[in-house]
Amino acid sequence: MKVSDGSGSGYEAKVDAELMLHTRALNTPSGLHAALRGEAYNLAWGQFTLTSATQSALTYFYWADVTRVASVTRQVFSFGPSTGGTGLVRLQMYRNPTGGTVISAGTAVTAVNNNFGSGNVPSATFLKGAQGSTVTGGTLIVDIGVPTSYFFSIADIDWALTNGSSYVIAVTPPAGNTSMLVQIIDKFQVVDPNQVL
Amino acid sequence: MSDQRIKDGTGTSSLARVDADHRLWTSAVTKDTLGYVALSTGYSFTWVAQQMTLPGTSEYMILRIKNTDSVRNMFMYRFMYGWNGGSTNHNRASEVAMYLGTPAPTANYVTQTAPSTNFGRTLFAPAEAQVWDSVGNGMTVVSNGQRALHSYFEQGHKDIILGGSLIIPFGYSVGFTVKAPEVGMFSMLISAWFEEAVRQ
Repeated sequence: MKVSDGSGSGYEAKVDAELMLHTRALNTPSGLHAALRGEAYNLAWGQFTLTSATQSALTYFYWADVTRVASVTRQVFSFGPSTGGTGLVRLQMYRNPTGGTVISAGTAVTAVNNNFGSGNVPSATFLKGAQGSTVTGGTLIVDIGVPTSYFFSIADIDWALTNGSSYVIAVTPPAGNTSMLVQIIDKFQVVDPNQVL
Repeated sequence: MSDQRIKDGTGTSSLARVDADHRLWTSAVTKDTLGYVALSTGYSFTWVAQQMTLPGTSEYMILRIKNTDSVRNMFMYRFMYGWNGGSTNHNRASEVAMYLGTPAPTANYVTQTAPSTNFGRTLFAPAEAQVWDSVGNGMTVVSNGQRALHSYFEQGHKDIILGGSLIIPFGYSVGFTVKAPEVGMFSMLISAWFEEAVRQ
């Protein structure tokens, strides 16, 4: 079998000495592909003011789509200067937490579709905590220290959240802190596993 | 065999193009392997050495991971490291080294079971991992192993994407050490996926 050009030119596809079929591919990153389909979102959690050096659970992401998966691709953090604090900010993320006031008393946040012409909304719950909000249960999946006065962007996270999965982001300012601003953005795509696997 | 044209399966009459260079035109959506593995098998994991304080100015073994999966290779994807520059001067560089063949520690450690980054899976890394318990002078090991990487890190945070280029086969281990000219705080995160060799 030879593969011929469909436009009628008579050209036929080449298979080389290494037995490879020669193709010319237009590659589209999955993020752009998801945005074009109206299935890519930004979660701008806003600004938090942390006034202690203890942990505050700031964001809760719960995925409720029964057939499709949320693929968390990037997280962006901005940590302001700390008043009175020295040392690292502790950034912790919990996989499938079970409780805490960030869940029981959090404020709803809306994800924005990255395709500005799309009316799609994700099937999910996003709750925002504040200074002193708590988280319980779950498994620690990220626990790192970063400086204050620091912009921190994590790309290619690729967490997969199926129906009923969730995570919480918690921040602990450095010892001695009495005031520090934190801003957080999550980026995620809705993926139909049948299109990927 | 006769010439064949590739026809759209959705019901349009479009036929795939072959150009003058004899290349078949295709359109692909690309997703990195880490994301593919997380979605498919769920064999994607992270290990953390949470915020720790160096006990002195020597070199200390902090984290060790051994691949115990007899079918899958371990592909290291990223290395994150945060360092406060030293708790006194805040401007000192620290050294991080990675060793191959690090033996299991005998003291001053806790085991770490890494969960899948597919949050819907009850799956843990097929690995033997230990992290320093902040007791004594790092994990106690008879030797660090063979030094493979070594770098200085100034105060701040680094996210180094290895992209799976570092492959750890079944039975092999890696260890990470930290050393600094003054006592300071640091943290470390390793991300990796496991994939059967047959797919590569």
